[in-house]
Amino acid sequence: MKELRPIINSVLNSYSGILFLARPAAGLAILLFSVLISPNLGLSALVCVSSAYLFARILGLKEDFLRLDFYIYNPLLVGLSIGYFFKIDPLSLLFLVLMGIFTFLLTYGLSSAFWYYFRLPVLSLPFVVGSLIAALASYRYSNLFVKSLYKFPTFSYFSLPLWLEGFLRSLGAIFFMPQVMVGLGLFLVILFSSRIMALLSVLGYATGTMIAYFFTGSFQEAFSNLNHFNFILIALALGGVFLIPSPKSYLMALVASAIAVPLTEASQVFWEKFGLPAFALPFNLTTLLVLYALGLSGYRKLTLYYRGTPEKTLDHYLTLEKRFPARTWEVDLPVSGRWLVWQGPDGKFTHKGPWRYAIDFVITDEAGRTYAGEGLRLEDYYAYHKPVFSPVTGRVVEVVDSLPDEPPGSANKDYPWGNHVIIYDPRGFYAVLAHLSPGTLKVKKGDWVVKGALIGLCGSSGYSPEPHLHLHLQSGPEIGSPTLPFVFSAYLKNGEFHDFSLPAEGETVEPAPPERRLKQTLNFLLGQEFEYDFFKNEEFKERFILRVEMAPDGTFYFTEGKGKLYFAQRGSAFYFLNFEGPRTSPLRYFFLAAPKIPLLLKEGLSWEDYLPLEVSLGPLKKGLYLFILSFWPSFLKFKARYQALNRFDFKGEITFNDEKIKTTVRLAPGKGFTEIKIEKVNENLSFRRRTNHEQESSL
Amino acid sequence: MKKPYQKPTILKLQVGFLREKKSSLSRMVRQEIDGVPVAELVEKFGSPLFVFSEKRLREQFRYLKRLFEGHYPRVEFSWSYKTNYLDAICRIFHQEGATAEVVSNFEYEKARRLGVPGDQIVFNGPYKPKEILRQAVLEGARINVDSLDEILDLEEIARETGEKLRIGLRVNMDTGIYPRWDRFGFNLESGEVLNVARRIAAGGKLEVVGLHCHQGTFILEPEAYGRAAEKLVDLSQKLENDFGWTIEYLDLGGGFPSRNRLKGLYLPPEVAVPPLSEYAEKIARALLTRLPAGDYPLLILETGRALVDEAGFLITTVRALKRLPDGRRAYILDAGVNLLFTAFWYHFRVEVEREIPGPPEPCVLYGPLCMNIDVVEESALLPPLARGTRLVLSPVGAYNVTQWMQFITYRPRVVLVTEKGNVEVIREAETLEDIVRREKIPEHLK
Repeated sequence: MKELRPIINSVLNSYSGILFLARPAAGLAILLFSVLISPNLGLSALVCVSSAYLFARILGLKEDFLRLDFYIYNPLLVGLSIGYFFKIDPLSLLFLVLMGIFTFLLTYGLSSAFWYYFRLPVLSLPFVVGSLIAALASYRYSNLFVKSLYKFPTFSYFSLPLWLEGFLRSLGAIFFMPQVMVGLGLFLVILFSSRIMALLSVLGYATGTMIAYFFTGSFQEAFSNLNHFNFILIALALGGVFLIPSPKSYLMALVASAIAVPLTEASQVFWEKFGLPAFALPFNLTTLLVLYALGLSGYRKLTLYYRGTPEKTLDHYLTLEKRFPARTWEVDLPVSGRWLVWQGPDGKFTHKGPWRYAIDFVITDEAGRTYAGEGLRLEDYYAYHKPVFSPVTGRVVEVVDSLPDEPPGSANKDYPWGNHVIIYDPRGFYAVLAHLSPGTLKVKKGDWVVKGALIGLCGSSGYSPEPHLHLHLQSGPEIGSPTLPFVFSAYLKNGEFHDFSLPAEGETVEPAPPERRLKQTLNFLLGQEFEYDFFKNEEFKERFILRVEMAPDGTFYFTEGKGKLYFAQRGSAFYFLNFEGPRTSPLRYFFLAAPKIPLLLKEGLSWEDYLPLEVSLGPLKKGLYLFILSFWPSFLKFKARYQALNRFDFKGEITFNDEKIKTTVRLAPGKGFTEIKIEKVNENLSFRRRTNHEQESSL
Repeated sequence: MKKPYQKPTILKLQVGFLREKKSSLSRMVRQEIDGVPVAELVEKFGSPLFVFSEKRLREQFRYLKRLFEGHYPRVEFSWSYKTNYLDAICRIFHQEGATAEVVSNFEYEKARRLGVPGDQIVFNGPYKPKEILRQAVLEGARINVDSLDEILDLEEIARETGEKLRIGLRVNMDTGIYPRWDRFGFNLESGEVLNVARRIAAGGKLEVVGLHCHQGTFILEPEAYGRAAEKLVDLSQKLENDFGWTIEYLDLGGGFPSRNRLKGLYLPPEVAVPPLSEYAEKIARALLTRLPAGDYPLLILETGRALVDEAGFLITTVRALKRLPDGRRAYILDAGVNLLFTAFWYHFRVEVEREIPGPPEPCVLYGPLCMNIDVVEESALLPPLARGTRLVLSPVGAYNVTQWMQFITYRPRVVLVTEKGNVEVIREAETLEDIVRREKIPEHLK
């Protein structure tokens, strides 16, 4: 039975996946609807999806892969469409099996091609193609028992307003069950799973249908057109699934639903000529078009990792993606000491067009000058002959080391880049350091360099009126290839620790290399255990043991049995990445007190972080907050500020709208956390490590 | 206007001087310090008078910080207290981000009194009384051990506290510098360091987390620092491999020169003293090429003189004129070696408060002590000075206001010209009361 569970789950997920929900319970509800309300439909779908699933298993695809619901929701939809038209008998069963396998193969192939060429999801395009083929082919198959030729009973519904009935029937039409009861059931499923989606479905339908009403002039016609389910799907996909829910994504959902109106009408007219239904083609075309355009234009809030509901995606975005931007590469600061960003991306001098993602660095003194004395000699410039380090780990693919340093005030227009080094990073890009001083390069073509390795000395070769360092990432190996956006993994700015971000033009930054002791202190190894006493208002509550364990994807987490607190050292800081578990788990306080610890604590160093909502909110409240946040992103100020007191202690202040929480953390020089204190308005919590010298001394 | 009478003299014509914008003579005039006229300073605060420039102190610190951090990513400057531990001076450096380097219980207590947290103190020195050592351990100071006996003391303290203590080892080594300061710490070449490390590991109470070396003072060979850095890196890697310790810091001590003219050196300091950038380059290059990229121990520099020397001036007044039997001119100043301990090592720059007509001629500057050794400068080249003329001696910021003596006379005021140009007294002149306060007369002598 246990082995069957993932299979059942993934089949159920394919039902809920049509509505962009990854909830087996919702899938089960939809399955039951379909089987109860129209057994013919329900069973056909089940047969089709099972055959696709089994075939995928025969191909050797694993559960993890098939958990991606779109692989089998397409066969499911095809099954529904066949079941809608034909009665189940041995012949149509065979037809279902064949079409299920075909649609699966189509999905498999198309999704790979779409992703490769367009970075787009395949949506239900295979279903559109599959069901069209099924419909076309069935013209010849007179042995199939066409249901619509035979009347089957329809219930007459108690009277509902036309718009409501239209909406519910359209919702049902997604599953080929254009019935009010089904629609109502589906809406409840959506509402229960995601308030954002429920709202979007209504908004999308209303926008599209109202516009259709304006054009056709017939309220009756507009609200009884079942193809308007396309508007619902478009609104769901754009408003909450493929874009991070925000006022902008909502706007995009409405606009897309509106522009889909003529498309829906047109495809309906077109396919009717062939006697075929329009299916979900308008939804697919509109959504893909909008997504592709947004991708091209560099829209920042595309969903990278859909978490099952828009709410969860938003939560994930607000915390993890805000903390670790995934769309840009992170590199190390290639210098030592304080440098000024002289020209940033889209700079006023040369960082334009394809070369806009670049940074020029110089060193300035307190008066803002880049040189001492009169600045007539290269040696007067603070940046001149300062070491330059590799920002990435990779292979050196190009070295130019023979161009002279230009005297201050002049520039070499023929070789603008001057002496430079190009390093290929296996993550898939090239890093360029330019204007280096001739004869100072420590690397040669073919060398493997690691982050922080000495590359050469800063110079003034090429188009360089004064000594400075130029850094950019580019897509190709030749100098001058289009540049790529990037961030620095860590740096200090005015005594503040910043990570995964880029300083602005005119700001002074310095690297934040980790301290060796703290690196060890916060390097937790598999199987290590730490025992803590938990006090509430100085009253002993419980004793628990934190253990380090590893998740299947290779990330490590602490667990005390109930919750899981994921952590990692990245760049120059230790991070708590994610908390999973019940609210009673004390681990969430660890997250609260130390979401990020720069590995270079020193009196006065301060930093900020974003906290995930679950570390301080219950599930209901959290859902509500996320719903509001999607409209009003600045509604919740859940920021935490931390400040180091010395090399091992730091305090934090978390402002959560009106509520303030104060935290203090003491690290053990040997390993881990010695004490964590949480001060709330009405209670004080503290976690004290039980000293075990055995472990200390065995280090 | 009638020109004042000048004694006729024959002067060698020096073409080079004429081409300079400023003749060497007028360069020897200093009318003000950071905009405050010398005359005004003396009128208000008396003579002799030590004057420190806050602007220069901060600028020099920032310059050094920018310089070294530009070459190596993790640098800590630890202000060497013994160079000048006046509260105000220390405060300025601490404000700029320097930690404190102390070598005695007195200096440790002074740093703590100034509010420097224990973990921002580097504790060196050959004798650390056990009481203060215990305090330093509890307060988390970086302790660099100088002798085996100190290790025994620390092990005892570790037993008391029940925790493993993290310490630094002071190492002496051959870096090509003479004389070698081999009385401090443990010798590298003889293998003493490794023996001591084995002993520490066997004891199980201590863990070595830092290495320290101090080659000497006023070192004019930047390469020596490069060699020291190399040797310390090699040693740290050996210790890490053999004993599993993590060497968190490498402390290269101090000894960086200021632009002061060392006795015995013929060339002027501008030529003889290598720029500090060369020291930074040599140290950084040695570290960067030997250390694994990105895994950098903290580099601690215990700069003192290089930070403070050039920010200090001593204003002194000619109190009497003399002609020595050999014909040389001599002046009696109101400041002597009692205030200028570094007069034993340096030829100071001697500047006159105003342009004085007349040819410069060699002369001797004596202090006010009735001691033959009280010579501030054996041969200065000065125009004929009248009684009451004020001279400005520099650089005198390092070691003088710590090694000065209360001998024969009182010690004068020390003032600070602030960044805004105000003058603040940072140490009052001594009075009779200060000196006799500690004295006691036994009953029978009363």
